Amino acid sequence: MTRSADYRKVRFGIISFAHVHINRYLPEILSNPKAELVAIVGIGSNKELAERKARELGISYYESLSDMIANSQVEAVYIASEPYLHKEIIEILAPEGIAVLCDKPLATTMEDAEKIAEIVDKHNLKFMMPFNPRFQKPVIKLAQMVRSGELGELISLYTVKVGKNPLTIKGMDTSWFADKERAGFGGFGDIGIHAVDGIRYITGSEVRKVRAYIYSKVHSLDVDDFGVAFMEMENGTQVTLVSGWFNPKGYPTWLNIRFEALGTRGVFTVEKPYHDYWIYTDEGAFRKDWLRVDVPIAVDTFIRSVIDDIEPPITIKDALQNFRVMWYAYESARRGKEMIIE
Amino acid sequence: MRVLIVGVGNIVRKAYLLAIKKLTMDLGVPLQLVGGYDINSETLAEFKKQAEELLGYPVKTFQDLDAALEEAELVIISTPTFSHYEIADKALDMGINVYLEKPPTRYSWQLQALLDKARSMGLGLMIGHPRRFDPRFKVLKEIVQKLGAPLFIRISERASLPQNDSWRWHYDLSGGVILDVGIHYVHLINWLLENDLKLEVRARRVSEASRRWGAPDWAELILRSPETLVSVEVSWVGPKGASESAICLETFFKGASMRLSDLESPGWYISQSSGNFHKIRYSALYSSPIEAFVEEVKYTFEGLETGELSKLYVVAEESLRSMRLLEEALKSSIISS
Repeated sequence: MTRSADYRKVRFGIISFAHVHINRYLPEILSNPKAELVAIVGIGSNKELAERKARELGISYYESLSDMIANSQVEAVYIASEPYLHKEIIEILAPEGIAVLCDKPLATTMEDAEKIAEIVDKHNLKFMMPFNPRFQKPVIKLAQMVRSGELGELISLYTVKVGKNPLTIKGMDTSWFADKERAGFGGFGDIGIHAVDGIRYITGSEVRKVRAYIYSKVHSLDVDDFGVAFMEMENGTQVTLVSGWFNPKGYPTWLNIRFEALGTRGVFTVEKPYHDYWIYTDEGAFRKDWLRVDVPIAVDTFIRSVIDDIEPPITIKDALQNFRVMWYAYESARRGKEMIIE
Repeated sequence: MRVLIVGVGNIVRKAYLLAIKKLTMDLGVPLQLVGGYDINSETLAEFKKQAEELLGYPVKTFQDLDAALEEAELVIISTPTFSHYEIADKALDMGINVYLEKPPTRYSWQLQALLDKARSMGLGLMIGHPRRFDPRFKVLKEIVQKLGAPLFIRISERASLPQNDSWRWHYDLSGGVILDVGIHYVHLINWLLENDLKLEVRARRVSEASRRWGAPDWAELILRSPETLVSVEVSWVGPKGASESAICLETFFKGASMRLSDLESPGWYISQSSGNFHKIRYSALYSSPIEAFVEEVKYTFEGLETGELSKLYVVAEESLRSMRLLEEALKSSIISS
């Protein structure tokens, strides 16, 4: 095992500024002592923003992946593009052996998702998808208590993962979130896929059945913004997930996240994943996080897996399985019946 | 009005006696508790002691149902569910108004028969559904009327039931947690949304008692109106110390959300030098504040006093619709272990 002081710096690239998550990942990549950001590639939405940031930070900016590969000796990248570009990007990076930290969802179609998994496997590519709940301390504690048997048999899990409308984010072009061709899912899948990973992680089991109701009924968008899925896990745990982009403007944080687990020997409620202050002003009440460790740990975990050449904790198998569960949920809503996930 | 209570167990001592005290002594409602009937003499003795302490006058006890009913103008029936029909039917035949603790009957046909009889005889028939008189849900109804139909409602009610050979663990006697607790919420959602509902049930037998005697002890009732999805979790299984999570209610609207958790409700947090930290509740019951029972008994009394029996029949009819919805859903649901 390498001591942290001995860690070398990984040459890191950022592919695209399309996803709003770039605003969280860029500072963490920049501040991580084991990473050196050497390239930004401006593909997809928000190219101007990508170029401006590269200039401000004094980092090489590239118009294409091939330019980046030819000139930057990048070892690892964070992909924040629209999901429909993931396959094309990974197809180019995989033969070069460039490790990939790819934002969710994996793709926009089942066919593309499976193709990406094939490519990753074929090239033995180091791949991680950063599903935040796995790095949130209350969720980790809940998963530990389930695994150790401290909560007894897990009977039910109620999960809330609700965000505000991403199209209202200022300073970025987020219109692609409401374009099924580019985003794949609407609000239910966009946010709910994090919860699906959290559910699989907490229960230690796979989703066997799903019955979902998914609608576009809040913001008059071309994609869905509200949904509920009722799931049954292989171990019998019954799961209810409510998700979408319907967190009201007045909610004190962007996200409303909760897990309520009922076990035969305990009830565990994750009221919120982060530590925060309540702030009251003449304009209203707000919450401000004072400790949020999930994104820094996700970035650091990925970088360590590159340096130590070990498997990241969230693999392409997880990314594909979470995508499949979500895909089946949408199929269930579309067909109006319960789906069995093989 | 002379009131008799038939079946004087837990809910009577924790709720109805306190409600009668408040109604008669604080609000001046002319009710008189004439006595209680129970097959268990110890329970009856405890009831008598508590009732007389609370109300300050003598209260009779009976182990002969006919003799007990002779004394009453209104009977509150709080016996095990399977016995409700027979007792209520007898009371109506004797010309006595009936207030049935929920679930009203084990099967919907029994409630239909009672309702028909009460109507034909011009007698009151009220079903105890305290949630609709519960200040928490009354405020929710006001908000729904103001903001429009919710997108999604989640309710969770959990209690820990002793693993003994009680009638509640026998499916044919109690209907399990699905009927015993679920009926509260099917009725509540009917009342709240005032819309056509579809219901699906997924249920489990989790505990040893449930598996041995057959009554499901966990269920999720999934209700759908054209505009709203509802998930109701009802459970008899869980840790004994889970009282703080007895009722959780969350509602999402277009442009609004609200949440009530017993974790956030008034109470007293106690931190002890032993290292224990716990919350003492302000209400003796986990499920409803006493105010709900006060309102409900008052509503019943007023309906009887003014002769507006239709006010009572409305509740009974809604209860009947809820029973039928549950029975229909159970035909196609799988109860897993």
